[in-house]
Amino acid sequence: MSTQQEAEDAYHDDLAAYALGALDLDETAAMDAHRATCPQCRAELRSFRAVTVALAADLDSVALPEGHQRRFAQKLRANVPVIEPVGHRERFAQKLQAQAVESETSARPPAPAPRRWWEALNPFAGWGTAGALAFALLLALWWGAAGTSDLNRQLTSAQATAQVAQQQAATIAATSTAVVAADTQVLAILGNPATRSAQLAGNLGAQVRVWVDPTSGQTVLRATNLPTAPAGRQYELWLLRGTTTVAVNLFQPSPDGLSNVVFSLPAGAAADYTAAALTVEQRLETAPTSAPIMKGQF
Amino acid sequence: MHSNQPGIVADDAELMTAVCRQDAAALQELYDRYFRRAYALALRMLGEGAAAEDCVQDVFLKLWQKPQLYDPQRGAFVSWFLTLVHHNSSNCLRRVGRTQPLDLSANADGEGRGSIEPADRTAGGSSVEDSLAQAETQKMVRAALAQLSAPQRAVLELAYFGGMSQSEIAEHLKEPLGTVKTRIRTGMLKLRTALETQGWSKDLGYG
Repeated sequence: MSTQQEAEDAYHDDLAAYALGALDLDETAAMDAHRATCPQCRAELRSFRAVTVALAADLDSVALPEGHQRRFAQKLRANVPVIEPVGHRERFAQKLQAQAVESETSARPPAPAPRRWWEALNPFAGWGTAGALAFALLLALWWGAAGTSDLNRQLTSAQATAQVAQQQAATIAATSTAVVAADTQVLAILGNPATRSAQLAGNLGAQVRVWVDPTSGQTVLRATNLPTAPAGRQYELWLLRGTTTVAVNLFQPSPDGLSNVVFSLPAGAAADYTAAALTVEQRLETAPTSAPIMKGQF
Repeated sequence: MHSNQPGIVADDAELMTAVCRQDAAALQELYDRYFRRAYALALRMLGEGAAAEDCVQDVFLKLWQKPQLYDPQRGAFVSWFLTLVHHNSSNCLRRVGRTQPLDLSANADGEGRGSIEPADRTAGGSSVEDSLAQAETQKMVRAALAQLSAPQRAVLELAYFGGMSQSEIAEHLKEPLGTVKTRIRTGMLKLRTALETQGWSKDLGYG
């Protein structure tokens, strides 16, 4: 018997314990990953979880705590998320842009280079160094804290950071992993208050949302009604930081258009993204070879 | 309950679709439908009513905030939901510990679960039909449990209701880990066979 077969048998033997929640944390994590790739184990797990439903159903005969519905209603009201006003980011960007235009007319290049598609997601992209300088100057004036030398240092630092980000972008695609999400894993990511999300828009009739947990570096993609990519091609998820595109990984939705995928990015690679986008690619690319079919800002 | 499983499963998925549209009435319906069962599970694990209520309501809040986490293609809502409640209760146990010792003695003969309060069919507004269906389910589950050996029932109890891992159970029972693993697997296989023989649908699971 091959080593791989032995490993698969070991996972299979642990499914009953997994369904009962009786694996240790490291075993659970390993099983989460295996389950995502093994249809046989998913089917077996489903049958064992039906058994745990029966075990729980055997416990129904308890008196319910008085007032529980009222307390739940209170919790629900207290947890209503703050809804961001539609378009506030765009309006803020427009205001900034209007002020910047007033203050940097002499520094602005006469004919800006054509913008690449992902730059359309970034209100400051395509301004060039002079535009960035004007924007930084504007921030400095607002905050009143940075002198000229500080500003230079900040710009140098920002340029160095951008170079590092570009280097990261080239390596992330090779080191990230994509698995069908485990519920507990997804809950942990979405439960992190620092997690940010982007709703991607396009003409596919699909609903796609991306969450990025800057703490763990994990990214969740949830798609509904996403059609299967054309033959020989897959979807590739991109994260954008300014004008830098970061290849996350390829994925293919299930035949019914549903996907719930967790991408694990290298530590430190998940912060400060401004947007996410999907392209259709023949292979894992480090820069998009086609226009995005869906995109959206965080 | 199992007599009308297919209808319940389909309705749950439709309710979750409505919850995705932030339909509060759908959430209310799911709450009414499953709070009792989830609370019983959390209470069994935690042994304390207020903690159990908080644990279950936390899961309902998550469900309201992130309903898209449920994928109907992967199986039944009830299984997904109870898995979250179980996971949340296990985490709570690890955080604060059990407030009451786990009582296994009542289950040794497979005839009943003595640490659970006597049935109160009126509290919580459960319908007569629900109660009758529940009694039928309990009879079936207990008949299935009776086919297991006492050591097999004990490890399943410690794992599912005690929130213990296999290695913790081995330590607790002072038994070799391999023995515990074997008992859990053979016990679950035997229980699955006994339940399915009586008509319990594997479609009630979530994989």
